[in-house]
Amino acid sequence: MTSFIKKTQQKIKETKGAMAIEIVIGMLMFTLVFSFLVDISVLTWKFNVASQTSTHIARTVGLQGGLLSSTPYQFPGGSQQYTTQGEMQHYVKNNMNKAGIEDGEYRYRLSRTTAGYGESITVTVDVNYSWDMLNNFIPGNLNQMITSKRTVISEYEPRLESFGGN
Amino acid sequence: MMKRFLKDTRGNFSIIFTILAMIAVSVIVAMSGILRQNFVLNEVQGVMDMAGVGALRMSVELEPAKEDEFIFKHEVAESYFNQTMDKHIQPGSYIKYTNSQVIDINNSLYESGPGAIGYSRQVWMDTVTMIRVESSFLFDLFPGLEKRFYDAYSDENFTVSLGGIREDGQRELIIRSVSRVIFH
Repeated sequence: MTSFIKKTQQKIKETKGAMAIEIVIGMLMFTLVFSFLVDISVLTWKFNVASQTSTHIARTVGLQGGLLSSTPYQFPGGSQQYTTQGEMQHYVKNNMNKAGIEDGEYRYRLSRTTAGYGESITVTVDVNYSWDMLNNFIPGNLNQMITSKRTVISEYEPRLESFGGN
Repeated sequence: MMKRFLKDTRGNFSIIFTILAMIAVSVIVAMSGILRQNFVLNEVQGVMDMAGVGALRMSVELEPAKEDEFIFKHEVAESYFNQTMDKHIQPGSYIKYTNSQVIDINNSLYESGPGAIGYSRQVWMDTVTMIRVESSFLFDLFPGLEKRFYDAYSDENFTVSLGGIREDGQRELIIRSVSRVIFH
């Protein structure tokens, strides 16, 4: 028992290899901070894309008085100027995917799909994000969600009645 | 005594470790602060832009405008803008205080602008929002007493006072938005 204590004391006093331990811990900390910085850069980009996407949806929806599955009757410029639900879905998907936000990690919704002139529509974009690099070092669930919201007023009075003339 | 102290290498590992840990914590705190502030800035800017255009639309009466009679109500624009800002930007756990102000709101016959053919009636609104967000004491070193902006309509600068206090754990951010609606 006494020899064991002596050996332990000797090992603690031993300075050989201290530099190696120092380097290992230093490298670990550097990797941790580096991972954090990479995650921060990616998330800054994702957050910007979420904000810009919600602004784009809100502007489009405001200009055309909503978002319908087909171009409303007598819309100025016809289908060339109107963005349908399908087209918007395609735009949002494209935008999000380019920023590394996969399908299922985002969703957007409108408080209403059509609004008369001066009526408001609220656009909400939710994006789930995770600290992917940091998750390699820190166990647990690092998934979170950000929400971007815009309220816009309709600048167009849609005519929803079907054409009944000759 | 001093020489012996300087030559002593015991504990050097702890010093290096502590310094490294401090640098790591500072970087993490600073970067996460920048991430959150950047998102909040973008959000407030987006909400202000939308609220500005909406306010200007609401301030012009539509039916008389169709008959070329232009009725513009400042108070409607201001009230709509403030209501929208209050609805979307509220103090909470991160944003501690908000203050939105309409700096200028006006209308005029103007020649320039996107899609303007000759002189067209234009309404515009210049707004500024100050938000106070939670921040680390470490990086709240500059109070930022005022910020200068340029007003293209009057060709003059104007300043916005912040009244920030340094090292109080709250940071002041100023966001400006100019909205314009052109009627043909």
